[in-house]
Amino acid sequence: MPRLGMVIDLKKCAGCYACVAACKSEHATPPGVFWCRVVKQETGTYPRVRRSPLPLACMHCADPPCEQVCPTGATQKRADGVVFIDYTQCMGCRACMIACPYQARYFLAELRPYYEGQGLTPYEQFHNATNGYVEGTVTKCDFCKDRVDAGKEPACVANCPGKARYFGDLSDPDSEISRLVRDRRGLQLHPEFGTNPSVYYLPI
Amino acid sequence: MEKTPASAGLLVDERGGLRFEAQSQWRVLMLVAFFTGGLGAGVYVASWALNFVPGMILGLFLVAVVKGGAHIAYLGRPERCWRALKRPRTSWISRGLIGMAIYVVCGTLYVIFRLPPLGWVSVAAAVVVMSYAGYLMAFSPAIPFWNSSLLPVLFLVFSAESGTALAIPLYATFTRGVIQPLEMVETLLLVLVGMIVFSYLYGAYHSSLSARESVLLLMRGSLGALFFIGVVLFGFVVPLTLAFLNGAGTASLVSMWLAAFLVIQGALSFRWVILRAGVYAPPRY
Repeated sequence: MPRLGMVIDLKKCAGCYACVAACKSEHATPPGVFWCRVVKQETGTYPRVRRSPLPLACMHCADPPCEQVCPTGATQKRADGVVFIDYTQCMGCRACMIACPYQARYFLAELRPYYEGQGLTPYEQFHNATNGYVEGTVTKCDFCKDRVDAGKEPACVANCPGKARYFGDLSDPDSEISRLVRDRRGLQLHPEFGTNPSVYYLPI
Repeated sequence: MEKTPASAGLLVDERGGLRFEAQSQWRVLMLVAFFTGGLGAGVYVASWALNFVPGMILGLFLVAVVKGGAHIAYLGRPERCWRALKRPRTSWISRGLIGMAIYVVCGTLYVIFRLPPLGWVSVAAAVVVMSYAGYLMAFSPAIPFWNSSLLPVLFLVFSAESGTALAIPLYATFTRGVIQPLEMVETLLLVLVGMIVFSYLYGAYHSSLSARESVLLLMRGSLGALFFIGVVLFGFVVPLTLAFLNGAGTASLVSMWLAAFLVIQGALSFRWVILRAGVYAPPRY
């Protein structure tokens, strides 16, 4: 059984936010909701310091705590490892948001328009309907499962100008991402929580 | 133990400190739900031990109406709340809801029909209601401060303490009776709460950077004032002093109600500072 995963090469990432824009464009998430985001990270001590970008999103953990705490079964994991939310089942208890060590989840209190006072544009209405966003539920990155099912890469991977992101099957030892993780010692965020994320980072 | 900023990829703020983000999802409504659940189930158990029906009714009302209402008001899609019964195998919310349902149904039937087996089942379910919020928080690995096996114990003991504190003056007001054993139990619970709170905070301070940040957050600023004045002084020291000064069975009704009020506000303040001090561990690899 495949285990879909992603590798982010921090040496190549320029912090340009193209992944954030591509994700917004693909999923038309409401204002304030960022399935993909980039934070700046500082390492080292003066005078040897480095400020570098750290792209963050749902880690699609092999043992997702969000799925375990979900009381309704709205958060589910597919056979290929993609963790997604069934908006028709979510009751908005937000236990998953508390449980997620990566703060990858957002609560859709209301489907706010991008242009305040003008209501939802036809573009927003279309995407809210097609993506199934429901007010009062929690939302997060779904690894672009519709694109993946159609044989494409997730939008953030396809649109990264620095080719810093790789997508593939972690369970296949010969796949590109497995080789990258192995050869360049890919690291997971918060390994101490035992969630076994499917997103690896290649250190600078 | 988490590494220091110099040796690991950690987020830092403008001043070079670690950027800890406080949880912002569980606030007033969850506080009301957690608190009234513990208080209601606690007063029910104490009243059951005394065979004191008004106390049991109050306990059932607090859980069924106030706690249930706060949960419903908090949910984004309250009409789907029944779905929370679906995952008791892994979710503490499901377990808590099932426990709450058993408690309310069996407790109500016990108050009406007075069948002892119903009483035992309702008390067992009340213990689940008293402690499940602690389990719910303790099973949240993202917030290391809460991720402690002492938290469910703390919630259970705090609930028993505040419930007993309310049952004592309530019983005395209704029946003019004195219940020395329960007053002694209350004093013991107060001491136990003090010991567990200290152990919990000491353990958290020495467990990880994030948990340590939470402990420091809890002792600084407005949270610190609430902790030291609301929890430690008026929720622990003053009621304990009152208990020792009065001695078991000799307290006046006014002093009993005052002690109950102080203990209950202490339990409420403690839950609030614990909720507010919960911070996520910054992303690191």
